[in-house]
Amino acid sequence: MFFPFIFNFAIVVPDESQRQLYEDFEREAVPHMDALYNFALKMTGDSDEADDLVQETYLKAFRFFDKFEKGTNCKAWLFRIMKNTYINKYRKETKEPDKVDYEEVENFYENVKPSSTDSAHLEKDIYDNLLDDELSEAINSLPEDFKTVVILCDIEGFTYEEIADFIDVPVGTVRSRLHRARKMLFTKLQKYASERGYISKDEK
Amino acid sequence: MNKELITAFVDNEIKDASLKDEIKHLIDTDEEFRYEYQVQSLVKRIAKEKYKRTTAPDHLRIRILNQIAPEQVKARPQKEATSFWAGLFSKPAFSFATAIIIVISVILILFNRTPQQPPVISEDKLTPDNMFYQAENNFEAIIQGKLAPQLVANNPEQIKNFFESSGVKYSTLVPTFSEWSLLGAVVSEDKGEKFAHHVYAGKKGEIVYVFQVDESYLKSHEIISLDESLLQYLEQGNCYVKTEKDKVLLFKKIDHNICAVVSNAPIQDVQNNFCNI
Repeated sequence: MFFPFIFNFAIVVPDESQRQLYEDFEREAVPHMDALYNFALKMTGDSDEADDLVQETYLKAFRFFDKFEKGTNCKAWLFRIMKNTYINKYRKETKEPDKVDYEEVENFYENVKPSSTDSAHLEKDIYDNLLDDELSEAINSLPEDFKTVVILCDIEGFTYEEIADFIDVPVGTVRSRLHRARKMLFTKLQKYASERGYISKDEK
Repeated sequence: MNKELITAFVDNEIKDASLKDEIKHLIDTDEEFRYEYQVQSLVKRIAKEKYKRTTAPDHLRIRILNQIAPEQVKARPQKEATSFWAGLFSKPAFSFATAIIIVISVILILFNRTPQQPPVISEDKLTPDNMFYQAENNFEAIIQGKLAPQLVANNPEQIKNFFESSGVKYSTLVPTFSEWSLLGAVVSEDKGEKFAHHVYAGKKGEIVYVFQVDESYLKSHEIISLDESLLQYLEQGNCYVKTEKDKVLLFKKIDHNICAVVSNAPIQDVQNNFCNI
């Protein structure tokens, strides 16, 4: 009986082209739901709103899926739809993201000098011992603009061009933010590693 | 050279071959550039490996697929499926041997009422017509978004009416619970017979799937089966509970129905809610 049950829902559809479209969407777009939800949570700061945002994004994406250019980055396409949906509907109702004081960031970043750290503390093993929670907390504590580029580039794997398109800034700005964000993140990770005794405080 | 180019190099964003070579050379020869490269590469790797991404809750996945699927799937004609399965329905409904087995089973059930240990269900008995097997597979299919409800409703009466109007011949039970809300229902078909399934969703993303079958189907073994020892165990009013990885599987006879419950909710909740009905 399991097999007809599957038949009822997944296989039999009205016509071949519709069936193909649905199957393509299931294969191409649905696997990115976790990535979209994760980012929707970051955008809205609320699980119910994130639910609604992701749902609306997927419904729109399905409606326009025949316009999606095969072979291009489906995740980036979904993120663009989500951004537009967010701007149109949700952003007015939610609080503005933190504004970044670039001067402050600059100062923070300038404090990390090569002379203050020797490359022995760049061993990946030291940071492998850090908890996932600590890393996530470090990323989440970055200023909004910096957090966004780290998530989009390092976690979601988008290119600079895709990120630039998503956040409406030039590619050079994406590069610059990423550069600084990773420096800031490194300092935070060093702090955690030091607190846990993986590197000595004097050497930090 | 601008050190931000090191970042672009790490991200494989430098397309110009000569610039790439120049950066490589700097990384090899200049301590500051090497340091920048190491920091950028390290943080990128660690972030990718350790960042905890919040996954989309199951109820959202189901809701979305249900919203998308109806336009494509719900509207589909039932004919293709029914015609295929209708062919199988032409088999004789009851064989003499089956009737004998039922009689023996009933006798055994009547005379064997001593308390029992929960039966051990061996994997090799889990054939596709086995209710245990089907319940587990259907639950996995729901979680993976491969099955969407035919009816989305949170009203038990509406779901019961749906079962009835869709051709389910036995009376169905659709209890409500404070922890979970009704999400929807499905009627499946096998060899011309219709079977009732319904799903609950909890606020923390729990999914509770209930598959109920009138016990006569299980006794006849014509369409769907269940391990004899398990059936006997349930006939005695016991509740069968089994945990597997991140899910709990529960069987309970309620009125004339054998109910299979599969859920990713905490075992205590599933047990308290279904074993005490």
